[in-house]
Amino acid sequence: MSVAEVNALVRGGFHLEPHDPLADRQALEKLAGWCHRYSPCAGCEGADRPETLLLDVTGVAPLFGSERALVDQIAKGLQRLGLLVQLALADSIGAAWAVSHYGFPNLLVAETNIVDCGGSREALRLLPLAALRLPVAMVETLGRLGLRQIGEMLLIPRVELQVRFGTLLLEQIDQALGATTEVIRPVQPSPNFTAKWLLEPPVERRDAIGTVIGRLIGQLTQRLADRGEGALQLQCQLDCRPAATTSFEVGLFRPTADPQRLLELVNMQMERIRLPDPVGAVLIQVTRYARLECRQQEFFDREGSHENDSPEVAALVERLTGRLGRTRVVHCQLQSDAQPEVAYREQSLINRPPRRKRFRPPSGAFAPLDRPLHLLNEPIKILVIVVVPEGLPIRFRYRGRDYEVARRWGPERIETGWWRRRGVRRDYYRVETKTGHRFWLFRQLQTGNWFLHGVLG
Amino acid sequence: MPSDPKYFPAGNRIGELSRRLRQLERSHRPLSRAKVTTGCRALDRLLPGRGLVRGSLVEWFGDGPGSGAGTLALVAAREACRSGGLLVVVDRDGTFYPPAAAAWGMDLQNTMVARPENDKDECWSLDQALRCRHVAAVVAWPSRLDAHTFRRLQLAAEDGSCLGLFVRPQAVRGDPSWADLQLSVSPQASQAGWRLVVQLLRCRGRFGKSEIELEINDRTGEIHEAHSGNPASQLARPEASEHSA
Repeated sequence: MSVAEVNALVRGGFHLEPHDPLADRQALEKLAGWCHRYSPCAGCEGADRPETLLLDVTGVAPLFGSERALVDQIAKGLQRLGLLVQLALADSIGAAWAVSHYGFPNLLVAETNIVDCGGSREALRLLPLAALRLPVAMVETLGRLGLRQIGEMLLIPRVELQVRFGTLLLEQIDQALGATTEVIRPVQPSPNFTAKWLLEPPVERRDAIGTVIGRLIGQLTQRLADRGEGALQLQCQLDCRPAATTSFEVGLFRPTADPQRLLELVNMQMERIRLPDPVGAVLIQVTRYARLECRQQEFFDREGSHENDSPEVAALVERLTGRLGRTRVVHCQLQSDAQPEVAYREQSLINRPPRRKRFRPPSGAFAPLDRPLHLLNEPIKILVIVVVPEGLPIRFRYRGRDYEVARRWGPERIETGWWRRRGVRRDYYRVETKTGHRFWLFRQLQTGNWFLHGVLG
Repeated sequence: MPSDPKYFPAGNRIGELSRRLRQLERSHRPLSRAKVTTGCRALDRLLPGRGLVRGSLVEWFGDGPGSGAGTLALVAAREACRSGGLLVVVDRDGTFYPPAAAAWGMDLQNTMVARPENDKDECWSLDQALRCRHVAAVVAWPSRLDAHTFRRLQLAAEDGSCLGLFVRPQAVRGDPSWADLQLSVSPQASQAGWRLVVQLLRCRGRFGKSEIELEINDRTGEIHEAHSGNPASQLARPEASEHSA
């Protein structure tokens, strides 16, 4: 469905997000990890873009009372997570897949179905051929031959099906009926790197709290190191009684299992927070981690250039970020946008997502002096003196000082599209005063007002 | 004895004293330190060693906003990063504009911008960045630096072999400074290009002030010595020399 069609249907507006298949897969794998409370073997279907969770619940039903109780509990748990679920339980993966995808009349309603033991053939009989997970072309070919339901297919001798359509069709039928074993590739449950320390009675002294934090970090880093993992993000929670919990996060540039480094970064954050009440419990959780030998990200996108991707640079980034904040230590990239304020974007150096493709900045269209070295956060409206109405300024005032314009270059018209909520229509001028100072001014076309937007170094 | 005049002919006495004073000032640092061009050969000729020294601090005093001091500092930073290393910009005001830096040839992939919220964080950030050996240059606009903090930053720059380029207002020119080099930048009105008068206020190993008028080409950004076009005035200007009197 195109965006225009959606806009026509949903007149009240809608939110558009680009499809991210990798994020979908990661979310589904995370969900499979959540399902480990119901089955030790939970994974995703083996497709390029998996959309189905598979759980092997052989022998699990008695632990929950019955198969119906197990299915209901799984469905409720997933619904509590905000998911619309269609769940089927059958003898084989193929049969369960077929019933869950094609066995329910309404795709917008959460439903569950339990196929009786040995009842796969009957449950599949009226389902369309697409429920056998066949290629679309094969389904269309079968359709042209008048075959539309699995029951019709099962009436045809297997030899004839094999001669006409090859072995794939028979394999899928055998998987659906349970004649062939299918394997679930389970998602490994994510380890829980959490350490907690209860303090009774609650403690006010910072050095005591610091000692506890040091011990918890030591425990976590030992567990990380044993698995060859390093922490990328920590969350620290201090349970201040009777006030609310105080928490903060620490991000790292590179995964580390070095307790001293983590403690240094946590202490930097501790210095900046105020504890309203004595601390009754300290909890530290590693919320993100990665293999120690892997680079989280490359600071420099040049092949073979790892000279600056060093532990020292990583340590500098972490210390600066730890003290100044994640949004205050950034890396800038140019963007193809005429509006000066959005001609570049900033990215925090911590937890920056890996670049999927090599970024090519827009080619330089400016001479070095075309843009100011300092761009004010907000353009400042200035009083100008002009010779004629709508003319160019000959004098203006900035920071209590009057400047007389000696030379000017422009106009450079910058207009943004009508679709941008805060569009601009400006004529920019570079001016040089009689004292040689240079500024970047613009006239707002809608109002005729003059603004100072930048200063050239 | 070395101080006995008979050991030195009269003509070489002053030159020898000058050399010894330079050695004493540099006694805590090796004499052969990597040099970085300022981006303008004419300005390099004013400096002993024909360039800026890695592991040192340089102050650029600008005559108000739009004076050009920041531009010259950024060009020097670009040159310092040519052979590798990070550029760290400590932008306390939050007005540093990366597209302009990119237009000057800065590689934004190798640039980190830190935005501290207060003076204390700014000084701390400068100290951390200057100390990192993989940082080639640090550019900042610190308004007030007490002597103790300045000294700490100078030691950090030496330790990290980093070039610290501080753009500062003229109002603090008389404050105590641990910068190895102080330059004053004053823009001038002109008919072509951007004219900047750069005055060498203080430089270790050099005595006496020097001044040069530079011109930045509006189209290419090339920086060269401005010529008045009058041969007589060019003959009257003394050439900059390493061996100042």
